[in-house]
Amino acid sequence: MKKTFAPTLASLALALALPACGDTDTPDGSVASTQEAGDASLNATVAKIDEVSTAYKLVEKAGLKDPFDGAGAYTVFLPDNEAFAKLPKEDLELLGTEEGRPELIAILRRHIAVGAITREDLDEALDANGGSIQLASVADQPIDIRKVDGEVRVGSGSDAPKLTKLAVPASNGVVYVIDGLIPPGG
Amino acid sequence: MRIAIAATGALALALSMPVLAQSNGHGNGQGKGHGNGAAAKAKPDKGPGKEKGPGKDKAARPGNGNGAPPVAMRANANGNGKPDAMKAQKQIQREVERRVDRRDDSQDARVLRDVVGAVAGEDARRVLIRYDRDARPVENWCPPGLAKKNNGCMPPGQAKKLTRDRFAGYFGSSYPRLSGDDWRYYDGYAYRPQNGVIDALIPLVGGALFGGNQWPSAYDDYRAPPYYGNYFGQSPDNRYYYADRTLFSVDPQDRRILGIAALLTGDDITVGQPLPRGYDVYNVPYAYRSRYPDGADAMYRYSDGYVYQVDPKTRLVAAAIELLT
Repeated sequence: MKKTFAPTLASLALALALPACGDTDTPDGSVASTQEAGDASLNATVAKIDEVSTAYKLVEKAGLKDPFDGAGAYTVFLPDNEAFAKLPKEDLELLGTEEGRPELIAILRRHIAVGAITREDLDEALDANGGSIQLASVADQPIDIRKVDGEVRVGSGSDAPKLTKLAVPASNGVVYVIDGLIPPGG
Repeated sequence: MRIAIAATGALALALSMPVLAQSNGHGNGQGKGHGNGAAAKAKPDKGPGKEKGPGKDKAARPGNGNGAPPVAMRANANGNGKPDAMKAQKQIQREVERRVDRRDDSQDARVLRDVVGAVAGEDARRVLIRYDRDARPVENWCPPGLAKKNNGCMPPGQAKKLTRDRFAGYFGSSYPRLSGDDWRYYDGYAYRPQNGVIDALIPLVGGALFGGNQWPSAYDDYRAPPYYGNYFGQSPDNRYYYADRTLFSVDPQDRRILGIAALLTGDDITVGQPLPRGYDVYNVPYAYRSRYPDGADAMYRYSDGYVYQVDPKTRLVAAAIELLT
């Protein structure tokens, strides 16, 4: 059964029933702890998050199932379904094709940092570094993380997406859900 | 587990990637001027021991640029004495056949004739060097289909730009040499037309470099160091190759790409050198956190299969720790 994080009765019941599972939003709406590893691999963890079902399909198309199931550790910032739905239909369709796959992988790389970065460590580092830090990514440039007006922005520029409250630990990394695509630069 | 006290820029050094075909002194392609912001990253088209600098590397043929001579050259590089002519000839012939597997028949025949003649004339190495470095590969080495459709590696008339407006920048963000708008896409490759011929040709991750395709023979020298295959690989029977910050598993029998084994930063992290930017946050994988917690005397950061011990005050890398026991 897929976990649902939309504000439905079912998800509320799940959150209340399993407050210690550590991989969903909490009853009071705060960000859940990611201090402890999850039971499933990144790939399996992403597969269970309804909010990123589009991203999950694209990860599969990109051939990234193996690295997300493997020994490597990654912190992935996945745009939610609404973010992908805002793309022009032909662009989204292109990303699912063989011709668009190199482009898709280039885009996804921009959203992947190395290692397992918990939300607690992220917030602590932001506080210790004046609200601005960088994460080494598997693209050419690090990912900028900034705290702006109490929200955490991922990437540079005014259109940088925000972290949602959804952060889910996997056995080999952490999944963060963001509300847009990280801009290519910075 | 092993703690390396020597420099461990091995990844960045060993795992750079050639452009398949370049000419006219554009050896650094689009990477020039775009990589400055990430000084710690592996420079994608500057292999270790590159024999010629940009501008001189006329037609930098794959396999030339990283200091590793081709098999046939190694076979003849013992040098002072006369090589075993028959053995060398067979080796060279195999090497040439391997390299010309995408050429047209007449080209193959000419190259083979050159090589055979050169062996007889005791100068096989010179022929192979010329074979590797002259302009001919630029004009004739094409992805399958391109030459047939376009009379000798001419770009397709209706070639698509590599990036669409919507996603422009992501290629440059991930692969700096593909920045700019002069790259075209064809059948899994990026190529750059110039003066009516293809100036540079790069197999793309997710395109020509993807599961089910053949690993390019031109990329033979890009075997990943064994540690990466051992750490990231899911089968010890596979071979592991690297291109563009991507570790690929490849079938050793038929050289078919089996899949992407890992995405890597390619960061050049060297013991004794400052930690590159991007490691502001503790990121050690869960399984190793109890063993490598940050403290007053040492902090730890993970990158590409290693945990690095870093001096918190100076941010100098003190040790590189392999995670395989």
